[in-house]
Amino acid sequence: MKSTGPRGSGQWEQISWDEATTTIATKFTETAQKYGPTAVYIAPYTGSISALNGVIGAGYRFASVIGASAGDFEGDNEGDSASPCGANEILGSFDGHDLSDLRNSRMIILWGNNLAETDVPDMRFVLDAREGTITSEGVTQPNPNGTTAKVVNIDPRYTSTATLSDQWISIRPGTDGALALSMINVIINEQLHNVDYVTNYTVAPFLVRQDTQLFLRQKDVTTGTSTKYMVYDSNSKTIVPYDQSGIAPSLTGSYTAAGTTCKPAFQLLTDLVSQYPTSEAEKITGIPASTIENLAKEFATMSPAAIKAGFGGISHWYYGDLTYRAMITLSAICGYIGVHGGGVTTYNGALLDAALDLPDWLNPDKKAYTYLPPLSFCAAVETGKPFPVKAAWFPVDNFVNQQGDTNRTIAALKSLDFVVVSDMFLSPTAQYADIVLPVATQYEREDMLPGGNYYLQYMPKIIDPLWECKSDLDMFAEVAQKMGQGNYFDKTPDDYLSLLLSGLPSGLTLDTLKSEGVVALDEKDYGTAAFQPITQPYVPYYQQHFPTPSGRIEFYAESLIPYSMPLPIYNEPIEASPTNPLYQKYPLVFLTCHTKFRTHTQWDNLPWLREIIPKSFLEINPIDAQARGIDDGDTVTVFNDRGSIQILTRITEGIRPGVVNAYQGDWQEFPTATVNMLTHQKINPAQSVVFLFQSNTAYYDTLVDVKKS
Amino acid sequence: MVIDLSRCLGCWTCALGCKAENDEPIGIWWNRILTTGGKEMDTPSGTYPDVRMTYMPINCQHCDNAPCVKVCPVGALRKRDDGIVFLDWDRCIGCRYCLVACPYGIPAFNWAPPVQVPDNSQFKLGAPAVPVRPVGVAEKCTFCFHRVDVGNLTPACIEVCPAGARFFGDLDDPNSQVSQIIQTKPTMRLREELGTEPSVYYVPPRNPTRPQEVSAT
Repeated sequence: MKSTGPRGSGQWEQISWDEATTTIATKFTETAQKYGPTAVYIAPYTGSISALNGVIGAGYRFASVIGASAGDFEGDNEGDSASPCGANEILGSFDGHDLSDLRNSRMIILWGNNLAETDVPDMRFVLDAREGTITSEGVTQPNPNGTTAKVVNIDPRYTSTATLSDQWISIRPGTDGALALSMINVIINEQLHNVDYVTNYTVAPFLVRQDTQLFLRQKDVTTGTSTKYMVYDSNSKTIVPYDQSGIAPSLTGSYTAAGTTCKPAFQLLTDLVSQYPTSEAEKITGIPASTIENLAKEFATMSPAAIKAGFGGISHWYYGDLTYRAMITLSAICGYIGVHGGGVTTYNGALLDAALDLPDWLNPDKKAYTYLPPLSFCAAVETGKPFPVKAAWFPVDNFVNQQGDTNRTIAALKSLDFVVVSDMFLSPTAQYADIVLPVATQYEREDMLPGGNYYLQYMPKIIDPLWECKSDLDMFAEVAQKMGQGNYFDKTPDDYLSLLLSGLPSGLTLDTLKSEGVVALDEKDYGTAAFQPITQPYVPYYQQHFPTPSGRIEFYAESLIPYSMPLPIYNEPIEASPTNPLYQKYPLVFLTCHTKFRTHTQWDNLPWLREIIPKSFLEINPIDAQARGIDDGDTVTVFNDRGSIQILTRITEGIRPGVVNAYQGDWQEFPTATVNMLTHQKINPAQSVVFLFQSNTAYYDTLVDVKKS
Repeated sequence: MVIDLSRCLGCWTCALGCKAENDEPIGIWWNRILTTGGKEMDTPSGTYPDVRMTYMPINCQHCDNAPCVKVCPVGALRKRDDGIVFLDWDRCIGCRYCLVACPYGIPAFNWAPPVQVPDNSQFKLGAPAVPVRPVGVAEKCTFCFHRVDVGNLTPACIEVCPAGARFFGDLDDPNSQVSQIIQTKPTMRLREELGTEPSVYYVPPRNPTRPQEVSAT
C-alpha cells in the first residue's frame, strides 16, 4: 500500500509490488545520492526471530550491499543491552548457563526476573530444581548435595514467579546494584569469599596505581616493555609479576611502587563495598538489613548458587550495566562463575550466532553497513549527527510503539523524507509509513531459527504466502535488484541457509538439519576453541578462560576509567530516584514490565487473549491509589513532562508503594495506552565501550504521577 | 487428572490449548485459571509486603457422581465406562439444568450462534473430530476423549502445559502415573463434601511464599 495523505492520516491506496519496490529503490537511491548512502536506515528487527527473514536476516545484508546505516544485527538494542554490555565489560562476553543446569544449584536467585510470566518454558527448570526433580535428562552431574534448591525472587512486584519461590524480597526499583555491593560486603566481612578463586581467576590480586588508576605493569617498575600485571607477594614482601611461581599474591593492603600508591583490585573492591553496610543498603533498597545479611550468607554458603537475572528488570535502567557487573562480581567472589549450578544467566545461546558464518551472509564481498544504534536514530534525524538520516525501512519492527519517548519518535518519523514499513499487521509504526509491505508469516517461507538456546531449528514452509504477501528475503531481493545489487540476492533460501551453516565446525549440513528438524549443536560449534565448554549442560567459562584483556574476570575494568566506573559502583537511577528534584513533581516509579499475554507487541491483537485481558491497566498499590482518590477500575491519566496515557487501574497489594506498572507492548489502544509516551531516550555514554551494546533504553528509569481522569 | 498447584504458573497455556483443540467460541472457556488471592486475577491477598497468591486451573471435574448427569432430562449428559462425562450436542435441548446443577460452574451455554476466531467458515481451527456446535446447546470439557480414544494421546491441556503441572491417566490402575502421585503426595478434590466424587485431584501449593520480614519503608 502507499499512503495517499499526510503520514499518520490512515489514508491508503493498494499498489502493485512492482510499483512499491520501484518507488522504494528510487527513493533510496535519491536519498543516497543527496545525503550519502548512510542516510538510508534499516531498523533492527526482533519481530521475526529467524536467520534469513528476521533478527540476523536479509535486511542487514541489504543494508550492507547498498551501504546504508542499520541497527545492531542482533536487533536487541531497544532496552536489552545494558546487561550484555556489563557482561562484556567484566567477563569479555555475554553468555549464560543452559537452564537445565539450575538443577545443580542449591540456591537460585531470580533477580529482577519474572520467569514464570516472561519465559514460561524456562520456569520449568526452576520448578524442577526447587522440587528436587533430578533426572538423567540433560544433566551430566547430579546435584552434589542431593538437596532441593531454595528459590529467592527479588522484585518490586509480587508476581507469578514470587508465588513459586521460597522467599520474595521486594526492592526499591533500580537499586539492585546497592544490594549486590552490600551482599559482597557481608561476604567479605564474614570471610565467606573464595580466596583461591578470586586470586587465580579474577583481577583481585593485580595492583592498581592510584595516580592513573591503571593496573600496575612490569614496565612501570622495571626496565623493559613487559606489560605483565603485578602483584604483592606476601612471601617475599616484594612486588612481582603475577605469574611468577611460588608466590602468595596479596589481596589486601597498600603498597608503594612507581612513585605512587598501589592497591590490589580486591582491596579497592573491599573499600567500595564497605560504603554499603547492610544498614546503609536498607536505606537505599528498602530491604531490611537482616534480610540482606541472611541473603548474602546463604548465597555464599549454599554452594553453588545461581543468579538468573531478568533482561528487563536489570537492563531497563540507565546504569543497568553497573548493576549487572555488581551481580557478576558477587557471583565471582564466591567462585560461582564457570561452575555447574552457578553463574549469572540472563539469556543462554549468545555464542551460537558467532558460530554461524555471519560475515559472508551479512557482509558479502566485505561490504558492510554503518552501525547506528537504534537509540541514536532520533538524534540522527533531528541533528544530522553522526550523519543525517532521511529515509528508513522498519522490517517487522514496531518502532513507534516500542522506542522510548513515543512523541519524539513520531516526530522523527514524520520529518523523514521517506518511510517503509514491512509487517504482518498495520502496526502503529506502519501508520507513519509511505509504503507498507505485507510480510509472509513464519509458516509461509523457509528459514532457520538460530540462538535462544544451543539448538538450531529448521523452519519449513508449510503453505504458500497468502494473498500477495512476500517473505522479507524476497522483498529485500526485489528492491536490491532494482538498485543494481540483485547479484547479492539471486540464490535460494536453501543456498543461504547452507552458507550460514558452513561456519559450523561440526560440519552440520542443511540436509541433516532438515531431516532432524531440531539439532542440538555439537560443542565444537559453541565458539572459539579457547572458550569451548567441555561439559553438559552448557556452562560458559567452564575452563575459567575469559575473553577479557587480562583473561580474567575484570571486576576492575580499565576501559571504564574515563567514566569513573572501573569498579561496579552504585549510582542512583538517572531519573527514578528520590534524589532527583523531579521526584517532587512525579513521585511514582513507572515500570513497564512484560505480560504473559504478549511478547512485546506480538499477540496483542489476538481476540482470545483480549478476552482474558480486555483492556490494558495500571497496577498501583492501595496506598498510592487512596492518596489520589482512585478506585479499582477507574480510568486514570498517567503523566510526566514527556506525555500522558489514559488507562484503567488495577489496585493490587502485589506492588511496592511508590511504584506503578503498566504492561508494555499494547498497540490495540495506541496511542491512548502506549506506555512509551512516558519513557525517555537517555543514553549512558559508558556503554559506548562495548560495540553493539551501547544503545539501551532505560525504560524503567522513569518517573510519573497518576490522577483520576 | 492431577493438577499440581505447586508447579502452576497461571500462564493460561492449558486454557488456550484447550480452546484451540476444541474450537471453543468467543466467550466460552472450558478451562480457566482462577487466582487464589486478591479480588482480581493475578493479584494477591494480604497487605504488602505480606501477601499470598496461588493459581487454580479449573475445568470439568468429571465427577463419578455427577450432578449434571442426574439432572439432564434428555440423557445428553452421560458418563462413559472410563469415567469421562460428556455432553451430546445432538441430544441437548438447551434447558440449562446442568448449568444450575454443577457446583463448579463449569458448563457454558451458546446463547447466540457461536463465533469462532478465526472464522470457522474459512478455517476450522479445532481438531477434525470435534463437531461443530449449534446455537442453543451447553458445552464443557470432554477430557479430549477424541484424543484419548485414539490411544497414547492425552488431553490437549496436559500436552501443552509448559510447567509439567498436569497429569492424566487411569485412576483405576494403581500403578499409573496419576495413581502414584495421589498415593505419594497430599491431594485434595474440590467440594468433596458434596459427594460428587470428582476425578480431578489437586496437589496443593507446596509452600506459600514466605515474604520478607516487614520492610522498614
